[in-house]
Amino acid sequence: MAEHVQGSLYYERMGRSGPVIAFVHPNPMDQSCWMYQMAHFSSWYRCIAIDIPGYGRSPKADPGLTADDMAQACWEAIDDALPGEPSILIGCSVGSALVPRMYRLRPSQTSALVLSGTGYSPEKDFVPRHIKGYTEQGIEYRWPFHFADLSPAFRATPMAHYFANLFMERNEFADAPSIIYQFEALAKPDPEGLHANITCPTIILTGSEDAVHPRAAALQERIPGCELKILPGAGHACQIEQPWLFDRFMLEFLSRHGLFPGLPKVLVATV
Amino acid sequence: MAEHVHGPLYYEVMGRTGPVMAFIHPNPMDQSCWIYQMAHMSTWYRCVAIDIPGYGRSPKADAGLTMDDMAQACWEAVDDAFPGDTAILVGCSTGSAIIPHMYRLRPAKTAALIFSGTGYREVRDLSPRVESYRKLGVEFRRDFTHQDLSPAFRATPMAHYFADLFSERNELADVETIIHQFEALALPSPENLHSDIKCPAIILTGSEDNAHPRAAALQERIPGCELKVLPGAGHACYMEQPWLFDRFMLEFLSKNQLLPGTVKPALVTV
Repeated sequence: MAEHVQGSLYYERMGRSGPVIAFVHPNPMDQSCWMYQMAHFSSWYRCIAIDIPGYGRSPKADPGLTADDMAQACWEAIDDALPGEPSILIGCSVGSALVPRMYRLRPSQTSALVLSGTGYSPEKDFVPRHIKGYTEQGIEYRWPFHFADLSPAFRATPMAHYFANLFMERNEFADAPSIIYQFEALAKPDPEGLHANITCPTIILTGSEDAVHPRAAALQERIPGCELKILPGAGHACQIEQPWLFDRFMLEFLSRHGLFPGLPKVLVATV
Repeated sequence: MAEHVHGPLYYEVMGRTGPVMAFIHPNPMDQSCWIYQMAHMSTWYRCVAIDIPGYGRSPKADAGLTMDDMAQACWEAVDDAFPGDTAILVGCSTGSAIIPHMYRLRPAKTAALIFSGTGYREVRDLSPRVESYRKLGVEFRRDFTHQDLSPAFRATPMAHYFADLFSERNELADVETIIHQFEALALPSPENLHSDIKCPAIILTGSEDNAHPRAAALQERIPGCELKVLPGAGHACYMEQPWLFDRFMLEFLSKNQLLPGTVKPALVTV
């Protein structure tokens, strides 16, 4: 069992055949933010979406929680759902901070990394304001934080509010202290070689309206052979805002690297 | 095993606690059309969404397929996912035609019926869609998907996203089975199919749905049935306006003491 996590992480599954794809969500959402990708990729893959500690229906975490603890807990969820298989790992934001850690724990079990809503931020300057938000407002801080993850255009839509409600309705199972421990873990310096040692195929998908978008290229440079695609107009949670483009980039990437299991054929929408 | 169906139906599940809720999709989609409701309702319910024969990843069916066969096959999928529990049944279009048959097969196991994309038609001719499927084969699904949507939604990238998602599974679909399903829909309904319904029931209907003008006639036939309109939404109204669809669902379930637990839905006023 992963240290500092009070039990097994909650997950949902979709798809019954094909390689394994695991999705790790951003702050302050939960695994339901991958609903489009879970449904779509289940045509070719066995998908699993995991709630990180403190969010959704996963258990609490203890002080001292590390990024490696969370990575280990995510692997344990995959082991529980789909034991022993190599996995394609998809992250957004904190999820993108965790999947390189998951790679480090099990490089030979990781077949590719898809990083979204992310960039290289060695100074970790995003941490203090979120710790402050959760400390002062408690779990209610999720609401404004949710909208900050979205582009101004998407933020105004009923769909943005639909997602906000869906996540917040689960606040009773959420835990502000666990979320704070998670940010404290993210604030620690990255281990040496975290990015430079990645040898599996990797791509960054980044929304042009994402606050971290200007730092995406710096992350790309640190990961050998890493690709990068931009979703014009999309915010931090670009997988929710433009699933047609996000999925297309993912499928093209997986296809190029021999990680697309073939039939049925993809009908890539040209947008 | 349900007759005329070549094996168990494919389904997906979401949620680990609470009452069971089963979703039956419309032509020409598959269970993935319920992604919003599966994710959202999984906060309170154990959800299962089923592919009907011929669509998605479910097996084929033979000529002679009946509504009761499909209803039985759907119950068997629910049995497989969540054995022995009562279920709230949610349908759209063909799904709304199947769930009263599911009720008829197991009235005591049915906690409530939620209909959408539906109405009452006295004479049920064979759908002109059969001709299109014969002529165009399974490729007709794409065009048909857009017919299920309001003109406004049809123009969005999201409509195309869903159309691609369903059509990408065409290789696993089967036109002959889909035609057998339409033939089953054209058979006369058993007497009292609607009037014998005793569980709570509601119809959710989009104002832009072709079936919308006939929704009130269906409401009249089901004792105590409620009805809510989704202004601007088409046939697949739960995809176009999940915020309003889910709100009406949760209000209905809450009113009928079928919403469990302490987690309160944040009902959006739109």
